[in-house]
This record gives sequence, C-alpha cells and structure tokens, in this order.
Amino acid sequence: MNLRKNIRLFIRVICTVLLFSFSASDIFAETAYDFRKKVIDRYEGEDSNSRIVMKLQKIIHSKKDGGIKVKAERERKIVQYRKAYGKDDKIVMFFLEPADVRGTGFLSYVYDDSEKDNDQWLYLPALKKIKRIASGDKSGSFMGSDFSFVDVSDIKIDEYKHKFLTDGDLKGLLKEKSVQSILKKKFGKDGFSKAKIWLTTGGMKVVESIPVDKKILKDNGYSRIISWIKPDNLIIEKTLYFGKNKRAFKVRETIKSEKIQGIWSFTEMNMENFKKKHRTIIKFDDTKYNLGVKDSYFTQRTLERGL
Amino acid sequence: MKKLSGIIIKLAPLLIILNIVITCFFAYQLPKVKINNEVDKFIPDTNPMKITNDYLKENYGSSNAMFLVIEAIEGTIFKKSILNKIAELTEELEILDNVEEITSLSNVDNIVGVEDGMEVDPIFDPDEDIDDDVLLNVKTALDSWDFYKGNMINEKYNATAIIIEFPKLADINEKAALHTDITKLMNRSPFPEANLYLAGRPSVEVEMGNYMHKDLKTTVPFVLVIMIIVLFLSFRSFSGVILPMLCIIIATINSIGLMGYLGLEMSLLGIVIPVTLIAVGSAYSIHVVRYYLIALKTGISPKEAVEETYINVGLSVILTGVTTMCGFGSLSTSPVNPIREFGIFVAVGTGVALIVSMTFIPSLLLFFVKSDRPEKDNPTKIKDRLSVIESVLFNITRKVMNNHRKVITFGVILVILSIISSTRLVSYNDMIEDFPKDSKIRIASTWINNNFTGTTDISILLTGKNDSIKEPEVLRQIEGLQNFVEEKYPFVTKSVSIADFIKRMNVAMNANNPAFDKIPSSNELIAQYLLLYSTSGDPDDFDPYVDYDYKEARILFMSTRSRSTENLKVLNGIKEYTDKHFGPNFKVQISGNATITNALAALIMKGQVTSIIASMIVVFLLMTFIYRSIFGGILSVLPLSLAILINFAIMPIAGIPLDVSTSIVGSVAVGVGIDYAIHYINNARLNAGNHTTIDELYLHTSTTSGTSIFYNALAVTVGFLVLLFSNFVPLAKLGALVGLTMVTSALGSLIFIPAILKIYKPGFIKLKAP
Repeated sequence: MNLRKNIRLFIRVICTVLLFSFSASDIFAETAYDFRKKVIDRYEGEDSNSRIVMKLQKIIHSKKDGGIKVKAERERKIVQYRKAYGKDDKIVMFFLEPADVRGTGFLSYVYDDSEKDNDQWLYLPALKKIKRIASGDKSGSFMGSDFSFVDVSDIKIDEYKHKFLTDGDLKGLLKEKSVQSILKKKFGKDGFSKAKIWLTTGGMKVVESIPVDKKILKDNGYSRIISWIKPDNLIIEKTLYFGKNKRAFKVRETIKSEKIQGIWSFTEMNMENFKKKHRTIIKFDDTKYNLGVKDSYFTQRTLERGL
Repeated sequence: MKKLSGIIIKLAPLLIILNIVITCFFAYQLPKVKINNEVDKFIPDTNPMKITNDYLKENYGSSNAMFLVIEAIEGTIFKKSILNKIAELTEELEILDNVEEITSLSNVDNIVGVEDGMEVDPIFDPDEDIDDDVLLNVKTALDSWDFYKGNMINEKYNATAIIIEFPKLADINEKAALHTDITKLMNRSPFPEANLYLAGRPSVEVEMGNYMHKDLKTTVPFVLVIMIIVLFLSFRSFSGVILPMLCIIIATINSIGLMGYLGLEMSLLGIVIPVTLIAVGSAYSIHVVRYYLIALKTGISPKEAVEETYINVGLSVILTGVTTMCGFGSLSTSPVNPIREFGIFVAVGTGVALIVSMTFIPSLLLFFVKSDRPEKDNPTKIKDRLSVIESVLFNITRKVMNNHRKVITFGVILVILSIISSTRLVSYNDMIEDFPKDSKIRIASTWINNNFTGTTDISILLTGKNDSIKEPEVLRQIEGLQNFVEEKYPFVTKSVSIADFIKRMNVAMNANNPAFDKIPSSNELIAQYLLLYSTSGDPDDFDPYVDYDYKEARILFMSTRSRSTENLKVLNGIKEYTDKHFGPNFKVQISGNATITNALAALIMKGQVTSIIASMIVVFLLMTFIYRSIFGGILSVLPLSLAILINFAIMPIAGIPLDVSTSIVGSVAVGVGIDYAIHYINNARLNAGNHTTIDELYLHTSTTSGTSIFYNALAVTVGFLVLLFSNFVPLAKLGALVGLTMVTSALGSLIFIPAILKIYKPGFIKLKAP
C-alpha cells in the first residue's frame, strides 16, 4: 500500500516537473518578439541634450591581425536636443565644428508612422535662409555617416520577424562567406580564435530580425539584422547587418555605455562598413535627461536664431 | 661536337626520361597561368604616370566603371516598359557579387530646388505606377542638370546608362566574374523594346582575355596543323615533321609552364609565345632530323649518323639558337611588362627548343628511327619537284651574280625609301580596335563613345593645402579648366569636378534660379554646401572628386576617342592651361586611362629602339667573334636590318601602329633573320674549298642552303599567315607582319648576301685555288 502510494506520488512529481519544464519554454518564456520590443520601448527620458563628436574615417585593416589604420578622417562636433512626442521624436542639431560650418542647423520631426515621410529643415548661416529638405529615403545615411536613419532610431518592431539565436546557430553563421570575409578583415589572419569568440552569444541574448516584406527590405536596406543584447540593461552591444544581397556588410559595436540619471545610455559606439572600408565613431558627451526642454527649441525660429 | 655526340649517345635513355619528366612537371603548371590584360599592369610601377594612377585608384576609386546601356529601339526611353526594365536591372545588379555601387535613373539622388527648400529624390520611384506625368517628370529632371547629359542619358533621349562600379581595388578575376554575371543577366530574358550594351574599360580587358582564350584553342593549333602539312609536303618524311613539332610543343609547355610556376600573368602577348616558338623553334630540330635522315641513307649505323649530324650541323644549330635567344632576350630591357616577359619566355622557349633538338630528338632518333623508310613516292618525282625550286633559286642567284651592282643599288634605294616611310610610323594603343568590327564589345564601345561621354578618362589631380579646394578662387579656376578643355577639344564631351556639385547646390538652394549656376563667393557658403551635400548622401559620395581634407581635387574628363595620339593633344592643352592658371601653391598631376595608354605608347617606342639596337649589337659582336671579321658581323646583321626596316616602312603604309603586339615583330626579325644569314654564310664557308669561282660557290650555296631557307621561310610564313583568320586583331596584324618579315629576311639572305660578297671577298670564305 505504502509502496503504491509512493509510486503514485513519484509519478505525480515527475509529471509536474515535466509539465513545468514544458510550460517554461512554451508558455511562460519571453518570445524574441517581446524581448526585442522591450529593447525598442526602453525608456530614454522625455527629452535629452548631448554633445556629439562624430568621426568619419577611411580605414584599412592590417591583414595580419586586423589592426586599424586611419587613412583619412573628418571630425564634426554637434550639439543636439531631442524631445519625445508620444511615439514621434523632434530633434534639433547645430554644428559647432568645423569652424566654417558653425551654426549650420538641422531640425527633424521623426514620425513613427512609416507611411509618413520625416520632415526636415535646414539652416545655412552663410545663406541666412531656412530650407526644407524633403527626402523619402530612410535607408539613407544619417548626417553623412555610416549610420542610417534606421540605425540611429532603431527598427520598428512589427516590420520584422524576430527569433532568438543560440550558440549553435551562430556557429552556423561562420559558414557564410560574407560573415567569414568580415571576420577575416576585422580580426586578421591570425585572429581566427578571437573571431570565433566574437560570434558567440557571450552571455547575451541574440535576436535575428528579418523584414516581413519586400517593401521593408527596400526601405531599410537590410535583409537580416542580428543584434546582441545585454539582458539586464537592454543595451544593444553589437549588431551585424546584412544587405539587400543577403551578405553581411556592416557591424555596429557599443564601445561604452553608462547609466545616466538612471537611464542606460550609449556614450560611444561605432559603425563599420566593410564594403566601403569606412567607419563612423560617434561619442555622446554630457548627455542629460529630462531637462524640460521647451517646445520652442524645435521650431524654425530657433533654427534661424540659434539656441 | 664529336665528344658531345658521344655523351648524348651514352645518355640517350636518361635524356628521354629527363625530358619527359621535366616537361610533365611544367605541363602540370600550365593551368596556373592566368590571363590578365589590365593596361595598368603593362607599365612598370615606377613610371610617374602609373604612380599617380595607382594613387587615384586607391583614394578616389577607379574611373573605369562598366556601362550597361539601354537603347530604345523606337522613340525615346520615356516609356513605362523601359523605366520598369531600368528599375528591374538596377535591383538585380545591386545584389551581384563584386558590385560596389549601381547608379541608374531609378536610384540616383536628384536634388531639386523648390520654393521653400529642396527635395532629394530618385529621378523616378520604381514602386510608383508610371503614368504620363511621371514620364514627363523624368524628362524634366534629366534636363535640369547638365551632369546627366552624356552620363545617364544621351542627346537624343533614346538611351540611358546604368553605371556599374566595383570595389576600389578589384582585381581582374573579380571584374571578369562581374562581367560574366552581367552578361548573363542581360541575355536571360529577351527585351524586344531595347538594345542592351555592356562596355567600359574593364569589360574590354575581360573580353580581350576571352578572345585570347578562344584563339589559344582554335587558331594556334590551326597554325600547327598548317605548318605540319607544309613541312610534310616539303620533306615527305614522317619523322621530319613530327619530331620538330614535338620539339615546339615541348618548348612551349616548358616556357609557359615556367610562367605558371613563377605565378606570372599572361598578357595578350602571351598567346603569341607559342606562335613565335613555332616560327623560331622549329628550325633547330628540322636541321637535326634532316641531316640524320640524309646520313642514314648513306648506310651507316644510327650511332654514326648522330655523330655525323653533330659534326655537320651542330655548330650552326647552336649558333642560330644562341643568336635567336639574344634577339628575344634583348626585349628583357623593355620597360613594358608584357613585352619584357614575352622576350624572356620566348628566349627560354628557344633555349628549350635548342636543348631538346640537341638531346631529346637525337636520343629518340637513335632508338626509334633506325633506318630511313623507303619513300612511297616516286623518287624521280620528288627530284623533279625539288629541282624546280632549286632551278628557280639557281636562276635567281645567277641573275643576282650577273647584275650584283644593280641589286646593291636597288637595295640602297629600298633602304632609303624604307627609312623615309618609317618616319611616319606612329605608336598608339587602341584596345577597342583590337576587336573585330562585328564583335559585341567593339560595337558597344563604339556606340557608347558616340552616344555617351566616352569610356576613356583623363584625370587631373590638383594638390594644394588643407581646405584650399573650398576657396572660391580655386573652384573658379577648376571650372575654367573644364570649360577650356570642353571648348577646345570637342571630343572631350564631359568633365566632372567638385565645382559642378557646388554650382548645383547653389542653384537648388536658390529655388532653381539658373542665375545662381556659378561658384558662390563666400568661403563659408561653399563649406556649408559641401556639408549639406555630404550629410544628405553616403559618406563616400564625394570620394571621386575631393579628399577628406579638401587638399586635393580630382577633375575628371571623359574622351570619346580611344586612341592615345588624339588624347595626347588634350593632355598637352591641359598642361599649358594649368601651368598658366594654377600658381606655385598647387601641384598638378595628370593621369587616367588616356595617360596610361600614352605612357605605354612612349615606352613601347623607346623600348623598341633600344631592344633592337641592343640585339643587333650582341649578334654583331658574336658573329664578328666567330668569323674573326668585322665584315662578317656586318654581313650577318644586314639581311635582318633590311627586314626590320621594310617592316617599319610597311606598317605606316598599311595603317598599322606600333603597339604592344606589333612591337615584337622587330625581335622576331632579329631572331629568325639572323638564322638565315648564319646558315647561308656558314654553308658558303664550309663549301668554299670545293669551288674555284665565286659565282659557282654561291650558285651552289643558294641551291643547297638556300633550299632549306626557302622551305623554312615558306612553312613559317604560311603558318603565320593563318593568323590572318584570327578574330583577334592584334594576332592578325602580327601574322601579316611576321609573314612579311620572314619573306624579306629570306630574300635578304638569298639575294643581297651573294651580291655583296661578289664585290667584297672576306678572308673567312676561302675559295679553292684555281
């Protein structure tokens, strides 16, 4: 009798454990979609202000160890204010350096609705006129850098299908020629072991995002985006971009991120285009949040008169 | 020679094995030989033009894009179907390997100034439905900026170009792969409404390789077959034909295999190596085999026959081999890479042919040809046939001996006329003319040159101080240079510089008012325009025209002429202008395809003169030493000098320029011409003791040695004339010129040597005392 009871209990325990483990991966577990959404919706303050140093570099990698030699560089210093209006953003930027473009300003209204083109105005101090710039191109470069508008403002969650990648999946990536070629350039001939480590999850969650239709592919210019995300602070540590031709060509890496006023912020990141042998380093200095930036900052008047 | 033959006889089996092993090794290397016809590679890295060109290529990208042109069969390109095709091709091209950037009407950023600002959009949106309004807008957009004319659309609006750029330092294999991919894309589905053309320098270079490949497979074996037939008809002996051919094949495998082993790339001249070896390399084994067969007929053993052969022709064969090697070896002084490599590897091949003729061939004869096969033909018939040629040569020689002064006078007149004509010789390279008139690539290139901006670029690199390119004064000078060139040289139809973009911005930012189509006078405004432009595009948008520090500017001119001589005028005009207008603070360098082909032409001309003179001096010294007589040296180089002169005289008359391929004819003339003279003079020298009068001696020499020379020249000439059927123009030109040279050097030896020797009797030819 006792034995029978024990067996029954044992079976019940086993069943519960099994049931629990199933539900853990099936029902209760966070999907890649939810996780990626969390990253996109991460709170970044009502408004912010930062000084941006942007370095545009033509580079070559040493064939041996991938070490970078900068062949030519352009540096721009910009002051930026951003304010959230629901899901839309308003941004105003002024160039501080180089000296001959000081005072040149951009005002952008970035709309969440992908059907709606962003509005952009420009002020050239030498011309003393405000001009509206209309451009439908979102895959285009952000301020002439290697970042595109999409890269800077992150993707829209429903435009992509998302999936977690395991270490095994990442190992499989190594078989792709374009990935091999990028890693070979990045780490050089002697850096294969480093490259292999680079292509692991490394304790992060790795999400693969693939555009839902051809239009998104065309608009944003990516056939696949793989993002390495720190699960604790939801900072995207690195991103591998695949072009329309399905080949990997760009890598974004977070060099430095810190917690400012309780908000995790990028303070330095870079984007390298391996096809163009070009790299952009962006540094955000003195980032401040929730300053109560006035709405009047984001008007054509401010653009003309300066901050 | 007797000792040497003893060694050969002893080592015969070993020599056969050794030859086979070595040849197999190099045959294995053959697939490693890659074809590369990039003109840039023809010029040494130390050439200043090349240095500038490489610098531009690395920092500004290649100006050598490919062009895919879509030409409407009827009317203009402003049709829904054609615009859709442009968009479709653009999308397909974008995903090909080795593509850096595709620029077409469906993706080029068009800046339009509007009342309150500006709009940046493609000329048409491929996703939008194309209606009449869109078609009209496309036309308006194209008319709005001169830049598009000739770049993306032609004057008649019936054709548009898709510009295909590849990575800055793409190699020939990547270009070839891209060319093949694009060709496939073009042919995949029929598009009856338009013609598609693919051209541009990279395509020309790739197609040149394709043509060479085809010719290597068809024409070259054909030459061999023709020569075999001619040799067989001449000698009526199986081994007398097969063994020399075997010798040539071994020589070719070894020299080209060595190229592969050394990892060298083969240019269009590489294909000529086997053909040249056929011309120069066959003689050695022909002489050896013929003599061996003659010796066997006297009833001696094979061993004795080999010995006899060595004693009688050994020296002549080695001498002619060494002088030929000198002739081609002299090309190694040429600064032009393909010509130098050609010279070296033909010299190597000749050396191999010589060694094979003296070792492998006698060894084979020793084992496999133990008795001369009785001739199947009626012997008297052969005799009759032979005597026809002999009697012709006999009669010619008799006439020459009787009228030797007239002959020499005629020779002098010929030399003078040739010198006069050869001053008109021009050197230029036109790669497009190297293709047959009906070839796709030539049609496409000519068409693009006639309808678009042309495919030959001239690049000016202007270097000043940091930021000097942003100065209004400098930009105005750049603009001035562009206007000057376009006005003075109408075949330069296009120029692009950073000044064009500044002007474009100035117009766009002033509500498209054409009055602002000029360089603004404020430094800051220029800087801000440049910033604006660069922030609205990719970081490398301006890469082709200005560097990151605004220290250098590149001004690009496109010429519709592919000949280097015409573009030279432009280069000189540019130099004059820049010397006058850009002060000492600026360095001006000129580069681009046009300058590279010019530099090449100059180098070829220079290399030609030095290498021919060098080889003549070497041959002259060698022969002077052998005959112990300066006159002997002069006499030896005389027929070939005549042949070279006639060659250079005929070229301008036939409208053939001195280019990479025709520049080797001179060396072929030295290599082959000297052989005829050596055989003739040596034979006269050996037989002089049997004759009492000069006439008698040379009548005999002309009928014996002369017959050999005649057959050799006949076989090679016929072989080379076969090249006239080649689809590849350089090879056809070469065939005609080498054929001519063989005839003139043979005649030079047969006619002028006896005529001169009748007047001047050298000590090294001693007649029998009467």
